[in-house]
Amino acid sequence: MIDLVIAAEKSKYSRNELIHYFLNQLVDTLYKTPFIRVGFIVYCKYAVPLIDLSTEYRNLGKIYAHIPVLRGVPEPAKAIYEAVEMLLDLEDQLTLKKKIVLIASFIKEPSISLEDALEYASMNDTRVLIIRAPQKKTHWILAEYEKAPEGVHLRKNNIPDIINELLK
Amino acid sequence: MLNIVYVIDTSLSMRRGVSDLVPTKLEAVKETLTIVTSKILSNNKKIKIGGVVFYGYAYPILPLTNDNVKIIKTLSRLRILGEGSAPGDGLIEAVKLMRRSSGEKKAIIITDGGFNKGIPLNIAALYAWNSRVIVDIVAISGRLKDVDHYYMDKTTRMCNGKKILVNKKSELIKALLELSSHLGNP
Repeated sequence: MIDLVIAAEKSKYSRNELIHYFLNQLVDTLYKTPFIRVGFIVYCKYAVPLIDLSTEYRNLGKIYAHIPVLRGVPEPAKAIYEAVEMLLDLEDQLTLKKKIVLIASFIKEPSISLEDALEYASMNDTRVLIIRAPQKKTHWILAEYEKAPEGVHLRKNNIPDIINELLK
Repeated sequence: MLNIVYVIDTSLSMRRGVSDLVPTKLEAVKETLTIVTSKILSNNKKIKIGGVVFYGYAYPILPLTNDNVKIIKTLSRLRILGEGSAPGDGLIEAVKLMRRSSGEKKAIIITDGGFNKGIPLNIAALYAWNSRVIVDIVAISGRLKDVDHYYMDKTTRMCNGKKILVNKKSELIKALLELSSHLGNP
């Protein structure tokens, strides 16, 4: 069983419609893939778990659309910590792989270190795939982003590739 | 099995008394919960009780248990924790406490309002709803604002729960006994 937590930003800095579209595509694919449990977190300045790891995640896209745009500076590290906590809390003998998909704008510099959060996930045997979906170009993240080897930029035309990468 | 987590407001405003909820609202809540938990546990051993506190932050104080001695000890230690009121964070901690539990799940928020911090209650309610947790709210009247009612009503409606306004100790006991003994609205 692959345990996968999706942590999606919903802020004024992120491309929320594109993220919504991506989530729907992802859920459609995941539903055809056996042995996957999915959890879902939405975040901005705080991280809100919305669906605990389970095989009932069909409405994930709808839930994302239903949440209002959250205020404040996005803190992707909080989402990572929340996702790791969920993965550890619900880990059982069926768990084979633990993964997190972090969807972030990276436009505003957060106050909590993303690097530390990624290191924490790694120490807990959890692979993190980072997907950038910013409203506009920014540079602050480059140092940390470059250290994260699996980062990709979300576009409508690379969604199938991202999903394939995710399922590897 | 029925799992109940009490989500208790320990913000500064709970330091004041109101009506016969004295010397402070929090002390009255502690006393009432001691009576209520003892009563429901003596009637039904298939109940587990947990606890979460919130002010500007929230954290668990009691993992799910049916050990009444542990519950009373935890309640006796409750104190005012600080400024701010983040019931949404409290509700999320409550749902997390019940993550691995089977059976019916219920969170009962006890608050005097003034919500001004953290995750909005109606967004936290989505997590409770997805996790099939019923959410009831006992609201101590006196300083509740329209916006508090808005969040509380949205939450209880979404999570199949009830909001009960109280102003006296007898009402508080009655509300907590009623909500702790029953599942959500039919």
